Amino acid sequence: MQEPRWFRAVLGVVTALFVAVVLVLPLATVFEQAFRKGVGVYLDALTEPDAVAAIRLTLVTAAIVLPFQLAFGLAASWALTRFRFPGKRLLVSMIDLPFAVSPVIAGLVFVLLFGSRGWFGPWLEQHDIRIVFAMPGIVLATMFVTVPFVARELVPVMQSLGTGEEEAAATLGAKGWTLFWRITLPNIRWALFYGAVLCAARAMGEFGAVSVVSGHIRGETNTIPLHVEILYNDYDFTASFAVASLLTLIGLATMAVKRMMEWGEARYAGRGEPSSEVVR
Amino acid sequence: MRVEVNRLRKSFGKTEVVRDVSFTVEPGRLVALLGPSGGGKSTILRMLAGLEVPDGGEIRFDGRNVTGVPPQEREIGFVFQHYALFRHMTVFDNIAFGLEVRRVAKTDVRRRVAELVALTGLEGLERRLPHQLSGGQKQRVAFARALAPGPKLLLLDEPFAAVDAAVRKTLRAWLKETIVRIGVTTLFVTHDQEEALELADELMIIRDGRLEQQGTPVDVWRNPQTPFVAGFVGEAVRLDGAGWAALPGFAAWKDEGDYALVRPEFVDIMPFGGAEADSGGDRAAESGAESGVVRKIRFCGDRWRLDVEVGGMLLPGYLSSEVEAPSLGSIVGVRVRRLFVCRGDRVVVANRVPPADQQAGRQTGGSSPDASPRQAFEFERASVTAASVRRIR
Repeated sequence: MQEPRWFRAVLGVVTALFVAVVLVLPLATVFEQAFRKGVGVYLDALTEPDAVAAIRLTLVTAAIVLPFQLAFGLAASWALTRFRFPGKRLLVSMIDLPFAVSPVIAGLVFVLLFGSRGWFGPWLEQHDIRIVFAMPGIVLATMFVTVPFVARELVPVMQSLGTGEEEAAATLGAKGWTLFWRITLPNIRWALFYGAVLCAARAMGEFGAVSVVSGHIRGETNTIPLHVEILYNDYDFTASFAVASLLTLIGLATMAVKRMMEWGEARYAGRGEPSSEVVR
Repeated sequence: MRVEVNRLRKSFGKTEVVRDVSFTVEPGRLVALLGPSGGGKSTILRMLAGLEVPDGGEIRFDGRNVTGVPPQEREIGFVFQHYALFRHMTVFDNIAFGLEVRRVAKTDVRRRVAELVALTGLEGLERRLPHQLSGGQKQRVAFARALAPGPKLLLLDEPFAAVDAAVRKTLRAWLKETIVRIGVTTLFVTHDQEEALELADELMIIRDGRLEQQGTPVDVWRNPQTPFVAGFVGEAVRLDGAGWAALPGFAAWKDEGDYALVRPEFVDIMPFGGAEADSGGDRAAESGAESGVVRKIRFCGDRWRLDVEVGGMLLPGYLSSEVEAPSLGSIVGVRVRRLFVCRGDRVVVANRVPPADQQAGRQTGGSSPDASPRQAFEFERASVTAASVRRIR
């Protein structure tokens, strides 16, 4: 590359400035605000009962959603990369649907279906089952928005792997689970892990869809992001940012995991840098 | 293991890839499936392995119908074109895999892997990962892995395609030696005829999903049964029109074919050095040869490859590179000893009838070169060898 020196310098400075203003500064502000009144106040904000309830609900929701999404992601990517079947393209676009649809709409759909005036509302009321404004609704809304994450990580990896190793294992006598555990899983484990991390991060950070179905009952149906909003609306900025710092840490941890995954991939593929196909 | 295939068929979507293929491979044979790319060779191999399900037909191993049997239960070893080594496993674990899934005892696994590592010359590499190996080493690991469980049939899909040309020759010799030593029935796919001729006891020429011919390399080389085989194996030049029948000694086949194929080794070229070159035409006539004009010369190291124009046709031929090459445009003597005379799907091997015994030649000159009229050429000895090979079969 023979671009003039000044051109390279300008590009570098502009990029650095942009990243600093748009990414680093806001993130730093979160922590600055959180610790403004000292560590004691920070810890109090995280340990007061409503905050603990919100953290617990968030973790439980993620813990319920994650196994489903892992199972679905594996099944879907296996089907998409190993078989030909009618409606395959449709399935691919359906998996991406939650990216395209606003989460608020996803939440509304569940209210319309299961709310007291919704399709199944009267029947649910008769049988005393609460979905909307309760945990099942939150789990469903979270389920909706996290559908794409695992499959989207796995499909490109499984595509580039091809079926060679599995066929080789089959000719050597390996069947079903042995084949999956010993051949397929070791090859996709980093992608699967990263997909799971992304999925969990999104499950814990989702605001829009959950907000619609939650009902914002303090100590009962508030997740971490909703709790942050409520505290903020109460002008309790320090506590609000303290709880928000938790979400920020989850985000940073996700990035760290991604780095780990790239390192793991590069080790087995024997490449210096993983190809963009494997790691997006 | 004896392999019998009966009327095997396979289509992918609307494309017919394998059409009605039948053959038998006797135990212990080393067989090459040879043909142009995309002809269905690999698909046949994959159906033998159980990796593809045939649309029709039957596969029998030692008489047992295995058509619907999954690959796990076929007792086969398969070497993939790009090896498909387990990338997260060491060389040792790759080779041990087939034994471990069969629940072989740990000590036996170790012993057997050590045996194969020694056989394939991979000592010291047991703890490497596939990406730390060279192409040739990967190929040997794939081979060892396939052999570890003691398969009764070994299938290799383009085994040398992903190896450097320099390594290929040594690997080939090694592979042949090893397979012969183990005595396992082996089928391999290749589009490289040199490879097939060098390695195989038997060739199967596959084109457009059909088996064109099966036989020993010598047999296929000498007695092609279809014009495709005649043109595909070896280097052949097509002679259209009636010119070929006008070559001395071939008039008898005039009505048996529409065109002829000639290989360079069928053509004797007699150069006339220095002063003789001017009177070359006369000299040629004296020795009962046609005279031809040299149109092209290529140096191939051990020999010259010439194109000589005779009667409006360009005939290919070789000259030893020990001989001074004739110059372009000079006259040489040309004698064609044999032609493949083709019409439709049929090939007749036409051996030149010497002027003296036209009649005798016509009577015995059928499709077999073994019955060719007496000629004092190396070729004659080669045909004896061919016949004896066939008898051994």
